[in-house]
Amino acid sequence: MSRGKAALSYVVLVLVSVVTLYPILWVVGLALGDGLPRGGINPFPDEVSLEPLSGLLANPAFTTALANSVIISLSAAIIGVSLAASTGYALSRFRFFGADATLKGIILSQMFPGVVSSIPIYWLLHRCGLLDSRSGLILVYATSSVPFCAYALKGWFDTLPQDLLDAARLDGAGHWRIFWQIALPLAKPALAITFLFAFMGAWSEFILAQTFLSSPENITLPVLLRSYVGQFDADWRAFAAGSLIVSAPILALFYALQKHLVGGITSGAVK
Amino acid sequence: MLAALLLLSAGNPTAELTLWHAWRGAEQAALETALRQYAPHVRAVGMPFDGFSEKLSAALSHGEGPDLFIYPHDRLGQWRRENALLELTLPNTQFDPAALSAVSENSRYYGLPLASKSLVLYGRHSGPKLPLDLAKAEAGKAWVATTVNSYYAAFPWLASAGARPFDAKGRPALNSAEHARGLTQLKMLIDRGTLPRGLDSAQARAAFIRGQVPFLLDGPWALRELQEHIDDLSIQAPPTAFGAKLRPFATVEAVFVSAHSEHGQAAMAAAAVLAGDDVAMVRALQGGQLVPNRELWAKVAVESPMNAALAAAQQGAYPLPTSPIMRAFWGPAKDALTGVLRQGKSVQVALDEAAARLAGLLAPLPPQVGATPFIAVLIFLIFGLAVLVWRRWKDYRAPHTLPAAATLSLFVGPGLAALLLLVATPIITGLAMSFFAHGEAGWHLVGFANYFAILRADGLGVTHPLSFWFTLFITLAWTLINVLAHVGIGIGLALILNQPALRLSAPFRVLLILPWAIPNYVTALAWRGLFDQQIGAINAIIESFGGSGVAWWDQSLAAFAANLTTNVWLGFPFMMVTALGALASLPSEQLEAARMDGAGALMRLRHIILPQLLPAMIPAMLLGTIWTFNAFNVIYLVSGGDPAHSTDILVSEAYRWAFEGQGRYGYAAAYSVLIFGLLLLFGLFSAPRKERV
Repeated sequence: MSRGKAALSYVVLVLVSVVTLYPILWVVGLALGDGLPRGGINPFPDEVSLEPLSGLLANPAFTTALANSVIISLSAAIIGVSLAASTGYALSRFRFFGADATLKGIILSQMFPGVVSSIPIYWLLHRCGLLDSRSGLILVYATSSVPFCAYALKGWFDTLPQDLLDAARLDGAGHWRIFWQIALPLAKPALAITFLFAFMGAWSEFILAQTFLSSPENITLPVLLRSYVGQFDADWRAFAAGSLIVSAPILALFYALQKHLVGGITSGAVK
Repeated sequence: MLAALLLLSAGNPTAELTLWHAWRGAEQAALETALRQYAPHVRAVGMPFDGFSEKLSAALSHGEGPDLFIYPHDRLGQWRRENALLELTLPNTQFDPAALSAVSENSRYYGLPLASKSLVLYGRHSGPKLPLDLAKAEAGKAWVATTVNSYYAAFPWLASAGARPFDAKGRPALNSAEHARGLTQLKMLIDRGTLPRGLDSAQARAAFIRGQVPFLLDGPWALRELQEHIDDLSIQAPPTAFGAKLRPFATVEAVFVSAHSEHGQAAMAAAAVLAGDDVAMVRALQGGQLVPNRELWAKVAVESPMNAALAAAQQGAYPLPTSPIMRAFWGPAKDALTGVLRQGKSVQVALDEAAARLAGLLAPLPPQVGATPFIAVLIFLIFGLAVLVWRRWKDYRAPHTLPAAATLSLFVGPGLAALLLLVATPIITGLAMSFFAHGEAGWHLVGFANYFAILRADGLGVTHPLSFWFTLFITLAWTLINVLAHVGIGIGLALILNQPALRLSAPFRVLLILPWAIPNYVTALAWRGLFDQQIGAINAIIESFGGSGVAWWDQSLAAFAANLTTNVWLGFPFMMVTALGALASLPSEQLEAARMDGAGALMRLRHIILPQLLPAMIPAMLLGTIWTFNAFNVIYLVSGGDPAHSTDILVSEAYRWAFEGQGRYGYAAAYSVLIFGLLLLFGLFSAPRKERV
């Protein structure tokens, strides 16, 4: 590669990175500033204070919501990916009656907007006594991630060579053993990515959480953060400080999974 | 003994009770202090103000929710009609008659007044004196910081010209001569600079705190925050403009008892304690509330002069009407304000449009239709489906490798059960809902009336921003531009990052996926802030290059561009990552061969890389199209549909029909089905053969 081409590449990358970072820097600046809306081009405040960040972490309402979000999102992602893995494997490997219809249904379900879905789900949770409970929300988040995860995992399982599985079969391994000991370990990158998707979906969702949860000991972080910035009374500093804390685990997950990210999600469909 | 037991079960006075409220800051702290002392069995649960009323309505209509709740009095009429409230007996407290009348209907009381709230004028004792009449103030100098973003906030100015939401007969009077005069005068004050243009409530407060504007028109809920920043805060009655005093709305926040409470008696007793003098005293002194308990006024005035000033400044406010029509009123009234103050529409046109829109919202629901034909069609469909399944089943030959039924059901059973229960059921319910209408009396079958009304753009005309066809056009443009930009930028960056000789590509790969990794309700709100007309960084950048700032939310195209910028920023990393994955799996021999043959970089890109890369991107593009088509969060949080719904896409429009205004769930469901149909058509025609649905 010529030097000029490399230089040009870096110029483009730096420019795009600046645009990428700028809005995020504003959130950081707001979290560290005095809390009043501020103008100008420079996102950073004159005086930096870590007080809002430490204040939030010392606030029991915030730590409760943080714990709830961790519990709910982790459980939802684990349950969702587990359900999706076995379903996706079956859809990929077993031509059972209705497999095609199920796959089509899964794709179709992604096209139906969730706007009015909250009404029947509210009623269902109400009937099961799961309104305003963490388990109710875990159930909703877990199932809502199943279609996408099952579809993505099916695509990944499709790429496994059939010979490999047949060989195991000839050695006398049962379907479950093949799934557990051969297919799943090979699907680790795809499992990691679908887990990330399921976790992210639950971690950032606020409309359903706001509709179904009400007790302060149950609410999740996005609901609490949204409540900081009401129409008539907005504490942008607390919102921004909370946003930094909300973003941290996702960033860590992304960083940890980045080598799987490339290729993990669509390679099944690509190949 | 038995009698005592009965008494206990009928009204256990210390049963744990739940109270929902939306108070913040000092008010919330005062409430919690008072409850600990006077009613420890009542558990106060703070709700976010935005969305509180929807949440309450949902809970009350399912017999869920709190025993007691605190809410402004204006929903009284609607809740009464839904029989959601218990009638209360007045405790032995002298309430201000005005506050009391706000919570009563036909001399029955359905709530107990807790606090009166209306906008007041904040200033500084050391600051300049207010002009006797704002209309005569010299042009170019800002006097009063206020938001006029909502009918509630703009009402004082309109009311000074005599405007009222309803006429003497209780009919909506949105396009009255008084509204026209009030709006004209308000526009004049803004054009002359007496009122700074385009502030939201937080910015208005900040402008006053920083001393950029000497006065602030804001609610009593701002008091504690202002006191933190300003030592010599003064409170006075709203100013005079065009010879008349401003008249803000007076709302009375009251405690209501849910008709569904299992401890009705105890809840009523708790409501009496909450509104009683002891708790009111704490709320007044610690929470800065203006309590309607008359016997406390003198004492409060001595201990908290600020509170007395607040009370005096709120005299003469106009009680917010309790008519259920009010719920539909806010939206069109806000559209009229936006039209005149921000989009430059003429006053009469904007008011007439808003009045027509309100009439449309209040139009009676479609009539009930007979169920027989629908049931017949339904039976026919189910029968047809059964036959279809049966014929498939007959032709089906299970492959010999298929596991036993028991094993198979372990594999797919749990997943399918979850999908059926929580994914399929809501979709089928949504489909069914689209044939019904929801009114005060519950659901009734209306057949295809919702679809006809949407597709005919009833009462709107095709080019109206709220019509289906206009919104469809916006949605298609939105989706097309977004996906093209996502794919273009994503592939471009991936090609750059994929150059093997580029040493430092790793940190950029991490950095450039940040927009994808941060929850989008955070970054969407950050972008909204960047596009702010007054203090946004985008305008600051434009101005630093010598341009003039853009009022981003006042023009449809500008607001659309702002939404688009945000979503392109949010969406390119996904495509970049996908393209990187696809590039990694391209066979490198072909490229080498082409290089050997002397094909230039552009040639290789056009003839080898792109033809193989693009097909590999198709699944991601399909997914991206569906996501973008339904990108509710971005529209809702960035432009919010402004100006006047012209940047709404179909899914945000559907959300408004369901959850803002009139609760037209059937209508919203029909919107959802139409969206589904469009995406289905798209899926059928664009998916590669093996992916076809």
